[in-house]
Amino acid sequence: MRRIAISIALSSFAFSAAPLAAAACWQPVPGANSIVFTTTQAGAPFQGQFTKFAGVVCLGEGSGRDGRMQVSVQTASVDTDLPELDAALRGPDFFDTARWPQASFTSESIKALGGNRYQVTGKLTLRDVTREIAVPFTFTPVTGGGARLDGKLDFERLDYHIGLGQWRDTRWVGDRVEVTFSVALTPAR
Amino acid sequence: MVPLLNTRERYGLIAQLFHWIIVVLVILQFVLGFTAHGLPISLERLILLARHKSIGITIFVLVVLRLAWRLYSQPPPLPPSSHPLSNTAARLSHALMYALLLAMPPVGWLLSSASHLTVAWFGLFSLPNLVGPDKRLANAMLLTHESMAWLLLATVSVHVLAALWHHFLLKDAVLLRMLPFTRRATGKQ
Ligand code: HEM
Ligand code: HEM
Repeated sequence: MRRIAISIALSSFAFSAAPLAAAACWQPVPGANSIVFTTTQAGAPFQGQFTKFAGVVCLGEGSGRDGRMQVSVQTASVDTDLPELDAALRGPDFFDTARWPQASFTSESIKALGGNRYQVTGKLTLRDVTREIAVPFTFTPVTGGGARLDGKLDFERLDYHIGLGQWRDTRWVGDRVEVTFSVALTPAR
Repeated sequence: MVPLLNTRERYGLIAQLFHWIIVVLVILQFVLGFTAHGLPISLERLILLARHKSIGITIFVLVVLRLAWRLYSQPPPLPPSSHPLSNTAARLSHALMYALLLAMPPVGWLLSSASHLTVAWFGLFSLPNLVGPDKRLANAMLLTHESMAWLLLATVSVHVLAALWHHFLLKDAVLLRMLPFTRRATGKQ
């Protein structure tokens, strides 16, 4: 009986200690990351990315309920390889970076889904709109003490007032936007 | 009735349809291309260029079919009355127009790919990107596409003047034999 109890205690310790072993909180490694968005123009896929963002993710023990995630993206760092388009995207009809320099996500809860999979629920704020979304992601420790966070979310851009005036037309500029992120993490100080 | 196949005296209905459908589409290409060229980034420019690209691809396919048909059904020889030099000029200008109509779509496709804009055909399917984003290549292709457009415009102008010259000054059947609703297309009228 005692041996069983001890081994259960040991294995649950080993399980919960894994993400804790190095650090509970992580932050992006500068430069090694991407936040890529994909939508459509005239029916063809169209991609761009944000190059500057900061954030922190903390994963707690067990259910992960005590975890948290905070991300803020510099909207002016939008990069589509088309300088004229980037300028338009920074303008008032799209991200209006002068008024809203940051887009942000703040978690409310993080649920462990087993293995390296998690789901975070929280508030996404783009421009003047805040909505609750759920985003599945994977958190994978890598050798050398770092970790990787990968995931994907999608939303309708018009829900967040992105693309006003003439750009509301979703036949030519898709409403659905898919965002994939792949972020190298290092223990936060 | 105009026969489907070309005869010794005149172009058949198929060759005529190819000629006049492509004429209408090429005129549209110039209107769309030049209008879009003068516009800043806007929904209007996006729509004009999307149509321009779709129609341009269509022209390419039609020209390939047209040349295949031309191999199958020999075009009528030029009337014996015409000057050998004018025969050579006709053959050269026709070849140049075919070459430009075949070359401009791939150059446009390359231009779009290098500009990080995937090409779709009327929103139904998209073409693979030939290259990744490349500002210098895009500029070179834009210059090439533009130069070809001016060369095509010049050649077509000469071509049209030649057709009118045949009809009104030489009073031969060269124009009539490319027109579907003319009864007599042989000899002098
Ligand atoms: C035979 C077919 C085509 C013709 C006659 C044609 C003709 C033209 C003309 C006259 C222009 C305006 C020139 C200027 O910029 O001043 C233009 C621009 C352009 N064409 Fe085409 N084109 C053809 C096919 C295509 C195709 C298939 C594509 C792409 C898949 C394409 C992409 C473009 C683009 C992107 C521009 C705009 C350049 C700019 O102003 O930024 N074209 N074309
Ligand atoms: C975008 C404008 C045009 C293009 C690209 C074009 C192109 C061509 C080509 C490639 C041919 C050679 C057909 C062959 O034998 O394979 C041809 C023939 C001909 N085109 Fe056009 N064409 C254009 C506009 C016109 C117009 C506006 C006219 C009338 C005013 C015209 C009258 C003719 C005639 C009469 C022939 C027959 C010449 C012959 O008998 O050898 N074309 N055209």
